[in-house]
Amino acid sequence: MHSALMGTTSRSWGVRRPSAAWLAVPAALWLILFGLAPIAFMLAMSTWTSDIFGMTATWNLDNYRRFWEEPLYISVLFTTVRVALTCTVLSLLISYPLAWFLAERRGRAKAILLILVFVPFWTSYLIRTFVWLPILGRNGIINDLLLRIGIINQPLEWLLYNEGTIYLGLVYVYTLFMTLPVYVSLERLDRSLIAAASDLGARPFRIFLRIVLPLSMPGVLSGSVMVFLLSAGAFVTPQLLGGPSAIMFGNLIAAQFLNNNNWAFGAALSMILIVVVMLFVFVVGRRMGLQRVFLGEGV
Amino acid sequence: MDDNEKNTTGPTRRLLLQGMGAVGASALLPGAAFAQQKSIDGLMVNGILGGPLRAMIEGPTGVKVNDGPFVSSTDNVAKLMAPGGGTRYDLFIGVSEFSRNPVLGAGPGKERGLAFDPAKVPNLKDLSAIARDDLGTRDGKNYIVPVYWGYDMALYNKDHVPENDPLTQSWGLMFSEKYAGRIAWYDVPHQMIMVAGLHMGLKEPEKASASDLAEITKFLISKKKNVRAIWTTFAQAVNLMASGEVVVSYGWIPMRVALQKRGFNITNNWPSDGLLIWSHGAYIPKDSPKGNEAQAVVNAMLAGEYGAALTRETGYLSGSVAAEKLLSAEEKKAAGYDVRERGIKTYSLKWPSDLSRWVEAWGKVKSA
Amino acid sequence: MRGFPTMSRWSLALWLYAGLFFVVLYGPLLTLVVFSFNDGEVVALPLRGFTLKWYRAIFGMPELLASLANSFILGILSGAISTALALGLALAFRRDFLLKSLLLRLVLLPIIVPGIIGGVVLLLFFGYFNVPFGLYTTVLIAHINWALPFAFLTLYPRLHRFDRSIEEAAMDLGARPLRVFTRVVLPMITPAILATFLFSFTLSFDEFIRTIFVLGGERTVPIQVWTLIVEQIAPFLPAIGVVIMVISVSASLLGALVAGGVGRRGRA
Repeated sequence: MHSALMGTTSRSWGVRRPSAAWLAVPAALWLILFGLAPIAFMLAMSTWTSDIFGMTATWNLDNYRRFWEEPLYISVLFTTVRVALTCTVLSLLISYPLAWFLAERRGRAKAILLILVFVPFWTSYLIRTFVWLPILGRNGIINDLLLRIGIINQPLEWLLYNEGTIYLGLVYVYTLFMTLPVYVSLERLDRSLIAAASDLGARPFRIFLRIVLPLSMPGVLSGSVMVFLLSAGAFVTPQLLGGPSAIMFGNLIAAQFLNNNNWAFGAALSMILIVVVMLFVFVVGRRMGLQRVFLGEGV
Repeated sequence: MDDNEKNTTGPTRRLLLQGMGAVGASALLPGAAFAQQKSIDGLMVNGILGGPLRAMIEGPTGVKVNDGPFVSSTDNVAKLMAPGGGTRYDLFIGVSEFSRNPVLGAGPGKERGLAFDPAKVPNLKDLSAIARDDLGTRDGKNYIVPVYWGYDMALYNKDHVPENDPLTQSWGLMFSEKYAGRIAWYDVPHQMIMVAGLHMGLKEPEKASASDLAEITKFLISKKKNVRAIWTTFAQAVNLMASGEVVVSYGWIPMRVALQKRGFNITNNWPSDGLLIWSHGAYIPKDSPKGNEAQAVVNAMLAGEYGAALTRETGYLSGSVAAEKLLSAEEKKAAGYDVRERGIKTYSLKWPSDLSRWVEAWGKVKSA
Repeated sequence: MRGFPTMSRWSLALWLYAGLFFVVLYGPLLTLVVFSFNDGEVVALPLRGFTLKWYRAIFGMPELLASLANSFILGILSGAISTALALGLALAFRRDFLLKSLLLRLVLLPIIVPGIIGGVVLLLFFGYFNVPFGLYTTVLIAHINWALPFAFLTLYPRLHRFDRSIEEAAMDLGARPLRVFTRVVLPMITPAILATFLFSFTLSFDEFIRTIFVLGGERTVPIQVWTLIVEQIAPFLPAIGVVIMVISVSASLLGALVAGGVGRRGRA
């Protein structure tokens, strides 16, 4: 395992080190052209107006005013943030023990287990979401099983088509994004620290709280940001599994393009979601430094 | 293969497909003629080219139709109106009503669609009355040609829902307490609100005022507790009915056809408060370089042979009287060609006066 | 591990938890497999007997096989380009330079933009400038956009950990930078590059939300699956899911083997 001294810039003895900054240029150009420019364009479009005949460049804030004045949008925005945060927490709680488990294993078993964790994520995420329907439905597998065993007399209605199902669906497809960074963080943990602490008489829980958790923070934050981002933009999962009251901001945005032709308004809503999500990342990045969050150890 | 990145379909795809010939399906090899064949890119309900239907279009015209992933009629319009819309697809087929304003444009000279040339589409003469009603015309020229029509209804499971109940034969079925927890709605604002408006007795729901809309919204919110699920896709709706998750659902004709073909005891109702009728019209972007080929395809869709097969395969009703002549009286009745003669109240799907408000209202219904 | 009576209690709990985790993780997949052999007309209980007809149906569907081919090629292309761009970034990031933190924010931008917006943004942009929509134009760009940040995030830590003293030693001995790179650095980071490529491939293969907005006339596998769901009952959906899984798993395992083999040879 490499030591933690990697952050230092090495100064060699008098040998001229050519700067490799130019290597970043192709990627930078790509990102500016296809990453930044389209967003800037969408920002412009959010100040235009769409009607049944098309879009006109009116350059005003009407779309944003509508967002502010109609309570629906803010309410759904709150719901979306709440759901995304809940998903993140759930995902963390579920992934952390498993990441620890993986980090503890050695050799071939570790490699096999890692692959086993990866494999489900190589199935289409659409299908992995759909498959919950025949499992959780009124006449689905779980109900069928429970009825046969005799635990229940009537099928359980609450398994499907509510907010809980959304959590299940989202966490199921996005867990890998949390498990992996946490695992990487835990793997780098110096085991001798734990051994020393327990030698000194610390109980396991205290060791976890004071040593393991803080040292795994980069992974935890990185995974959390990822899962939050992914959940905040969800729209297929709530639509499919969430029942009659499942609506997230992504659905509102989608409706502007799929059910309506109000592209300008859709652009405005999109900008709003981007800003909200960016705020979240910024807040987290503030605590840890953006580079640390995403890249792990100090950069 | 790697230097052909820009050269999309032809050679690369052919090479790959030939490489996969080991799978043994001779249907895979489109043949050397692939690259030279006339073709158009279209966006339409993919089911209308399913099974034997595709050959009935591509055969007589010699034009291959590359149908893209159809999302919705409004999405079609969105793609047409997107800057550069004329270059993506050569033929769109979507709900005529929703396409009317965008395709015809605000006024003369602002049309986004190609005017159909009667010489290139001789089968126009066979348009049925219902289809004719929905033509998109300006100054004597046709910009939208209805190719087929249909209606939306409530599907219900005859094992659980009595057929001759007046409740069954009305849109009230979708809002009833009787089947609470076993109802499914459709996740589309304009249709659900329209249906609710009809049920509430509004004369012209599409012209609903702001207060009317608020009433409809309140109504829908109050009935939402009886709803088990709100579906977006065909497969969802069919699975909901077929698995017994729900016994009543907003439905499309092809769903009824699919379920009945598979032996389920499910049928559609004929709502006394107004069967929602719509047509799907074909329109071609003004600047499409393949206007002739696209018109040839539309012509083939108005041919009797295709139209009759369309009804048999999908349940959609052809816009051509030539097709009606090829169907038996029974088939016509089952499909509903005679809705107007049977005295069933019909209501043509119309574009809402303010769709953005409707979309918003639906959002409110769902977030309540 | 130090022997501790309480430790083994935790240990047992952990094992049980891991077991439960894998059961829940694989349960739906097993369901998928079971339904793929089910002789029923809809994807629902009751099970009606064993059949291979769905698999037979899939292999007779040229659109599906075409979309598989499309997804493959697209995955390879976008994976390769993403990895190349990410490699450049990762190498450059080893040292500080002007605007480095700004560039980092730029790299993370596609991740921060939620899925559907990522597609919409490109739809508006390409549409306005009349860029022809197609698999190897707009869709490729959308996929690279999506994969690039992840590729960078995967590659960078591994590059960062790479012990530079060997590199510096080679330079001290007078080797030119390019030679140092190809002879020393590259062989040692090849497993990381391969892993990144695989990851990017996977991301592209499963990409759906952005793709649907910028698609031309052709389909990738997720789009094809979506079309089937939108248009049909699709009882063969589970079978498709299984096929997709088998392909992805095989490709990844193959890649992992190759990467492992190369890695072993590469290590001095």
